[in-house]
Amino acid sequence: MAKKMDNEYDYLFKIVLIGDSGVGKSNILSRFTRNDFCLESKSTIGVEFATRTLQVNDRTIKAQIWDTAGQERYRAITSAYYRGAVGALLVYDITKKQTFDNVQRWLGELRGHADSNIVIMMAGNKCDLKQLRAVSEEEGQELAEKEGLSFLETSALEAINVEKAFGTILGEIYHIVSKKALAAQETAAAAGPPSQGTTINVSDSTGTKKSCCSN
Amino acid sequence: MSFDGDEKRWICSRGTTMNLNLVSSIVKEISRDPCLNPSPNKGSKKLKPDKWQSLFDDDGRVHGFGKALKSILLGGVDPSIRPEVWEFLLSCYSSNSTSEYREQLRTARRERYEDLVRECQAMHSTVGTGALAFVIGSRVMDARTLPRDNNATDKKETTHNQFNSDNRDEKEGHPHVDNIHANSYLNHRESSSDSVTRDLSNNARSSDVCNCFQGKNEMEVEESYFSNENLFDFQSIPFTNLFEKITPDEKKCNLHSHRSSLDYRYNESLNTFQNNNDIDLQENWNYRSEDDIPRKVSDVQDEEEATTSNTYISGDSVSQWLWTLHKIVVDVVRTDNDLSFYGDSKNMARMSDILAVYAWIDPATGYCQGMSDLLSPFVVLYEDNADAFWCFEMLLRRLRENFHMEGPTGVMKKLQTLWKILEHTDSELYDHLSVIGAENLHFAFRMLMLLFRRELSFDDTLCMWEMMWATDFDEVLARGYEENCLEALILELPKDSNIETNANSIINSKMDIKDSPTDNGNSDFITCDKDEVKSDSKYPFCGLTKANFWTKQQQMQICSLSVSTRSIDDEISVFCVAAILITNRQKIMRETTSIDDVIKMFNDNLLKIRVKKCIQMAVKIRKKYLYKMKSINAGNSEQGESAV
Repeated sequence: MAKKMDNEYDYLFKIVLIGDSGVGKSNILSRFTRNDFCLESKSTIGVEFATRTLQVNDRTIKAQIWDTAGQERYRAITSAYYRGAVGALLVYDITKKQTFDNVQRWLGELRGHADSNIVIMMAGNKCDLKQLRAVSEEEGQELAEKEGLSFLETSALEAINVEKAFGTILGEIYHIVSKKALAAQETAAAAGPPSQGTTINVSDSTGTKKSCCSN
Repeated sequence: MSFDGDEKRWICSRGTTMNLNLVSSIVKEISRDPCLNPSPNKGSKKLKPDKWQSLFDDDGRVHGFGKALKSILLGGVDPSIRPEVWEFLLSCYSSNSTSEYREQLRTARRERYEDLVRECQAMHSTVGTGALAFVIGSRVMDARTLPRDNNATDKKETTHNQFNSDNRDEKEGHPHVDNIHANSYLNHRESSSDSVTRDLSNNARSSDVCNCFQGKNEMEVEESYFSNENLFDFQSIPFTNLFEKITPDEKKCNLHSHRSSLDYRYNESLNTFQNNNDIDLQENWNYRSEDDIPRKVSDVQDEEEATTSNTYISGDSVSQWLWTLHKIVVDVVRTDNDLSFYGDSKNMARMSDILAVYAWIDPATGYCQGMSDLLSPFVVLYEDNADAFWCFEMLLRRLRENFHMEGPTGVMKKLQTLWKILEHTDSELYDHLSVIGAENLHFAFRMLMLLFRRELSFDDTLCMWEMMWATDFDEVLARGYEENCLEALILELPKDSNIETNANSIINSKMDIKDSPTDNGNSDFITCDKDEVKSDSKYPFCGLTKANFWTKQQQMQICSLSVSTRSIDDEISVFCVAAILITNRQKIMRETTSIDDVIKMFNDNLLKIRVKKCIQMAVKIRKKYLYKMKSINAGNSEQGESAV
């Protein structure tokens, strides 16, 4: 049954979750795909992924989110998973300055391994821990602007902005993809007989019609 | 685009936060002690106590360890004798050591372990006390368990009300004591500007700790380390001097430079330590870096001196270790937390201590995620931390390469081998995996890294491990591990009658190995090497003793022979993965169309793994593979010759 569901989509977008270990990547993933949060989730060894299928306009988008180990010495295996990724959520922990400082390293990692057009969003996770904040929202915003990234503060625990973060990434990817599709159609139309075309209205937003947990 | 439309349907399956108390009490009720009680129902074929005892002579030597190995291969070890047998399987002791000698060695090991604990305790007071280093760095430290002040919780997204109210209920269920800790922590954060000074004045203890440090800089650094203890009201324990092993003269000339180098390197450290799993230490670091930079480095020369000297404990290594301790605790609390055993935080602290000690004596490896999974069974099996530590350390001698950072790690090499194994033993599966682009076999990474801990139940893992070790048991290879002994663990036992014992033991152990059911053709090497080894045996074998009991030349010989006869390539774990793949080949070929599918299949534990069958099959596959490789190599060399 899962298999049947898996095949019913128009687009498959691969998104990687990156960032230092302990910033909450696995919980962001479980919040988004299963709406679940576990304070004691085991450390991620190697790579894992989960999927969620969303409806954007009349299109079904399957988001495949890859969760990778944050500890540096696992890079040998994690770097393979940038391949094919069209989006990245770069996560740091707002209560740990060091994880924010390492954002640059992760960006370097992305530039080294991922497609140059990859859509990147930076997320300052654990924003519910206001009292322990070590990185201000402004700092995050500033860095994001400097690096040309989208930015949000999230909390996997309180389900704050997790949907929005992925929504933004997926929306942006979809926008790029449909623009490309339109361009391709136009080229095709100019060059030869018109192909059947669906106009994709990116600016319209609809609610999520279908949600799927691959488990 | 909106993604908020159907939030309400997303009711959390397990509650947004787990009620830890409730869960652990349920687990306690339903779980039994996993590995110490003999299981009466499936006791037909395994190494049982009566058989095991019958193998010992009056002096406590094991005669015919090969017979024991054969029994283990049939179905593992009876849980009641597991701790004892494991020590032999892991080569903690030679099978031909006398019980008197083993006792002696055990005592020496325990003493050494205690020394190491004391060293670590001097750096962080909680080590060895039964308390976790950063109680609030774990699940309970997470400040989300705090009662929240209303101003701080204006919600951004009203659609999440359902979850928020759930959270609050959960929070109230948390132990009050944690809140108190966390509160004091918060207070500290609010007045962080003067906290160093305050800690300094309050904390007479800290200044006693390392009374060898003189001067303002040193004291400041010291405080940033030890202020944690103050904050969290940890019980006061006597500190030992971290540097007590250094002679007084050395202290004078070196300590200052270490500390100034440490101070200086805070900056550098911030860039060096990539992984942060905790808050409090991190906070200290951050704020030191913000407040104290730029810092004047008084004597660069001193610093260079300190760094070039390996014999002294450098401040850098202390700071690195403290950082590691942090990472350890974060993982410890989430390791095997479904076992009632770890419902007791003292047991978590034992795990944390052992990992901390290990990271201290092996800074090149340090702590790597996954190690806690590997250690956990030893903590459950052994009452004494030192015993658990030595077993864990012996295991890591086999696995250390997995955790190295530079170059291809052990696991990556094993994956390459696995690919070769599949090529030569199941071409159909090999082709399928090639077609779907799964050549890198990354889906098997976790199995090899954690030796099936996440794929098997706790009990099954124990059985799997002992059967794997029995399959691969090889005292000759164990001597190779001997060479890898970490410097801090080298023990010298008094030269007494045991030396003779051990010279004998080597000879006898060889005889043993010939009996043993290993399939890797090592016995050839064993016989030819026999005479050379026995002549130079001056120190007890497998006693983690001075490594010079072979001459250099012999060491080289042994090393190269070990490599040629058995390498990382034919370790049974790789063949076990091959066996799992081949056992599930139909499912894999039917249901996977991309590497993603395979990864999903492995991560979600959708494959059938039956321990005994898996091992038996792995042994067969290894035999087949090695035979094929041998004939391929023979073919190649013939070709080479004819070409010449």
